[in-house]
Amino acid sequence: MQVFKAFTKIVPKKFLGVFMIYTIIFVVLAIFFSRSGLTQMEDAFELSKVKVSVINEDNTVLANGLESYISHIAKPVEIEIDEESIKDALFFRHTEFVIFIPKGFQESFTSSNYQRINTMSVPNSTNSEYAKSLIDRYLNTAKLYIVAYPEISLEEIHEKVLRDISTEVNVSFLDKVANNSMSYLNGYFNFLSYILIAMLISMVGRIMLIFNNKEIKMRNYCAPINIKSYNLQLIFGNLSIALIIWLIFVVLAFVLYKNTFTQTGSFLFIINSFILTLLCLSISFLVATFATKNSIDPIGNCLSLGLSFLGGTFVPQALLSNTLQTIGTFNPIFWYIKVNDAIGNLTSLTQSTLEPIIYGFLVQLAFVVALLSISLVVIKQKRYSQQ
Amino acid sequence: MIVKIENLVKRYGDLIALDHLNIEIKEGEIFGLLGPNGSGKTTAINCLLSLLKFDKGSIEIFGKEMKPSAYSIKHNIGIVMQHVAVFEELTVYENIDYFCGLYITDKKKRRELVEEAIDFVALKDFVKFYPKKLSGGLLRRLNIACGIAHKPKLIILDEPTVAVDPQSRNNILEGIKRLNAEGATIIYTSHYMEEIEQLCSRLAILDKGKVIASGTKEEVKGMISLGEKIVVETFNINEDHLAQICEIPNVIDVELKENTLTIKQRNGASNLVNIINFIAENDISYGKIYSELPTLNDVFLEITGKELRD
Repeated sequence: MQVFKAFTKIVPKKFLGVFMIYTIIFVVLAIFFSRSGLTQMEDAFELSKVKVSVINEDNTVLANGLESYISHIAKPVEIEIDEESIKDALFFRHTEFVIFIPKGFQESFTSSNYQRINTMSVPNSTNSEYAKSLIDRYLNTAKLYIVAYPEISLEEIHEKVLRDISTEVNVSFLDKVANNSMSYLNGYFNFLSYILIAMLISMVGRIMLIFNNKEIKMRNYCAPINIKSYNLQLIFGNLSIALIIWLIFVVLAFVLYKNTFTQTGSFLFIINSFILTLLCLSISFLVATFATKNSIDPIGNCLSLGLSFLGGTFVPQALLSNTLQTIGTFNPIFWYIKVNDAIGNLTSLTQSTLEPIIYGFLVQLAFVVALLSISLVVIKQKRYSQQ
Repeated sequence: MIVKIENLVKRYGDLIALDHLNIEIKEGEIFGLLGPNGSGKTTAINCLLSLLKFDKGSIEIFGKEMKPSAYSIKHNIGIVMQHVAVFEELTVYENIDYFCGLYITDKKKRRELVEEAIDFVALKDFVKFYPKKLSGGLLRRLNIACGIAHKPKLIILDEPTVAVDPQSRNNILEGIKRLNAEGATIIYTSHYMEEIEQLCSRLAILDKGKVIASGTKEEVKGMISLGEKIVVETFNINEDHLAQICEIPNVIDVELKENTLTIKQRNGASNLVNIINFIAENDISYGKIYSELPTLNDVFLEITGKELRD
């Protein structure tokens, strides 16, 4: 185990600094990303407010009540009353919906002769339809009270209508309910892909460059050491580094997000990140077969940033174009993120919910096998060409 | 025989790097492989160590066929590569310990051997230094220590003094003699003929992958027609004098370069007294007169028509 021992001496001396820097950057960014709400889906609900202009010529209790209600629920915009100005305001989208409350509106409304309110709106606007529904809601409720309780005053009716239609509901997405901590964990493990690939290419690549140095390699081959044993010790050493790094980051995840440790998804995140570690290790092995001392950093940066951006580490996969998503199927990081998001959105453990996750695991493992095979072929070819 | 190389052929495409190479090395000798750069010395060493596949021939070390998996043979070989092969990330001590550990598993024994190797190359004051902090000479000494720490029976040194200062070179050459005195058989490659002459009991001269001469120094020098060379520092010699010197029996060549006259004699003949008499009779003024034996460069020059360092 002489090679492995040398490995354990070289790694702390050469890479402890690199590891510390990457870890600090990762922890800071992981906390930032996970807390900034940059998750894979838009999970915020906001009531939209339409730009509405009310031209109230009636100035009665009901007309004023309607105006005040609309001003409260929409975004009131004052415009000039002449026809030209109204058309200009609509054309330039200063306002989206104009309501005319004609003189005698209240009288007609309370009597049996129901008078319609005139409106003007931007053509084909969904917002104007929404504004119409707001007016209908107010007037229909008011009409109901007038018919049902003819004895009560219009002021009272206005108050009752307001009370009824001002009831608000909280909107939340089903898959995000009570799942905020898992969403943080999702963000953390997504971002881990970038750090792991960058760190492992930098560390494993450099270690392999040291041991693949032509002089050192030839000197080792002169010694009574089996080439297979030599290579196995190197693989074992690299695997140990990768697993230690993985373990540290997994522990760190549950230190940062303590309450998630017992949840079912957490275990799946751990498995997925373990497969990712093997994946990054195989990418690092491949890079080490052709990289040089000077090219290892540029190659590492290009690969880690490129694969992470295209894989959806920094940008939610839902926001990637169809073309990028198609290209992404050839990117192992894309599959890792996809599986992570599936785990993050997991509400129950059933065969149908687990199926895409297990499929993602298998695809990633297939990438590992393919990349390692390519590395071995390249190494073998190089050895033959040197002889 | 410790090493027996027979009809070794190594080709790189159309280039024949080793052309039916035959070498035999006996136990306890310092065997020199001399040749200009590109003559095939390092290729021969790499084939000998099974680092390179060869096209034809056979190699036996310690009476057994040498192959990549011949670990019992490799166990008794020490190698000092032409290019320094040490880990820049390990200290002097750690490097020697690592390479010694490839051969010796027993920790206690290894520690003793590493200490001995450090003393041998006089690196005691630098054990905690990293290779980057060492001078070229010290680095070469570290390279040697890594190669010999496990006390091998056969030590191969491939141009170990390239780019080394004279003090370190002497230190290295003295060390090699001591290793040989302790019982190790040495194979020493170099393109410095002075080193080979100083160090080796037997040698082979290589050119274009072929052994063009081999044997002891005396045997190799005896293979050429050139005998002693008489060198005269002179100031008033003319063309007539040169023609007369050429007619002296056994003189095969006369050469005047600036004020130095070199008179080459046939092998086995001595003309020093005759030349001194000629100078005295012709009233030729002179500075110093001395006689020297042919060098390995003369051997190489006569056989190949070019200088060793061409």
